[in-house]
Amino acid sequence: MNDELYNELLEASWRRKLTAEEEAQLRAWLVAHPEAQADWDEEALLTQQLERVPNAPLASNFTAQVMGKLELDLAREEREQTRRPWSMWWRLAPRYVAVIAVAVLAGFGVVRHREHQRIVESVANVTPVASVLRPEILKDFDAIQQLRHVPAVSDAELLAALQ
Amino acid sequence: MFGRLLDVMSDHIDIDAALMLRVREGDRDAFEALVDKYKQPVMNLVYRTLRDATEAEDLAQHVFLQVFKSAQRYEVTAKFSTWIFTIARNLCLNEIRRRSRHPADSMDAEFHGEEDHPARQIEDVTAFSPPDAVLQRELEQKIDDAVNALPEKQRTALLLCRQEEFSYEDIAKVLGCSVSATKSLIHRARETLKEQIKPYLKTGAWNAPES
Repeated sequence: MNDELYNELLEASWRRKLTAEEEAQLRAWLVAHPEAQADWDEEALLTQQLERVPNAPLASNFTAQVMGKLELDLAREEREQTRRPWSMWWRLAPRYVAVIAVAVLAGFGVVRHREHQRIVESVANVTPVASVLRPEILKDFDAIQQLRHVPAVSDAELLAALQ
Repeated sequence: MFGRLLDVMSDHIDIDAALMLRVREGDRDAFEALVDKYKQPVMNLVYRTLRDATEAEDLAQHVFLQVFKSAQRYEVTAKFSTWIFTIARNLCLNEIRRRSRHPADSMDAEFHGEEDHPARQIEDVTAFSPPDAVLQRELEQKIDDAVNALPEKQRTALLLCRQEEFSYEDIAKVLGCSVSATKSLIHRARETLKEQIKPYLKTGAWNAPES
């Protein structure tokens, strides 16, 4: 016998009545440990009193009330389910709007991208020509433009000026 | 055929679990059997937590409705009693939290059940002489009040301990703590209650129960 066994018997007594064998073991232990008798007396009396703690008050038709409430809840859920097609559409409408918005934005993006690609290609086509036009070529461009506005003179006068 | 399968399975699994399998199929009779079996234990726990008979009965009904609606989530491997008491305790804690946010609903509500329900049943008062009967009723009231005054976890552990089919492991699952912590809770609760009965032992009105 040891304290551990006493504790095991004590914990068992908290939950249920001890068996005859357990009670015999306990009696033997208490004879060997009389100082523990007072504690056991308190424990035993408390267990006895806890068994006398009354049950909570409960309506005699508690089960019927539960079953009644259950039927009401289930009936209400069924009514909501029959309304569900319309309410479901209404609930899903924001999702549809979001999907459509995303699709429109995506389409817009595709169009912009294609436009951009077209511009890039057209620029690429012009680039070889642009590469020929070096800036140095345009150095006398203004002078040449001025010449276009000079009145025409005869060739004889031009020759005389040159001599 | 499924019913026969359930009958065979019930030989190998807990009766309550077998009933819950039927409840999962929408069997109202099986559900009603569970309500009948657990209504008092559930009500005992809820009543001691909420301390108002009307609210406790309302919440206890809600526990069973929750059981039916959550039937699909019940796993056969879990003990039904552990499951239902976990639901009951969680709903009680939700109610306590709701009350703490609305202080007008006092948590120290007096027991209103006394006026609407029969007086407490005392097992065998005639076994005591009249003075002892008075002491007995007095002691019972003290124990009753002391149980109600315990911290929630200690009280729940103590009340579940009274359910014979509950092991310490089952109680620990409901409380969400270890077995050793559970036993510690029960020990502390009992130590508190023993302080109430010590004076009565000294009166000599009781002989200690045969050990």
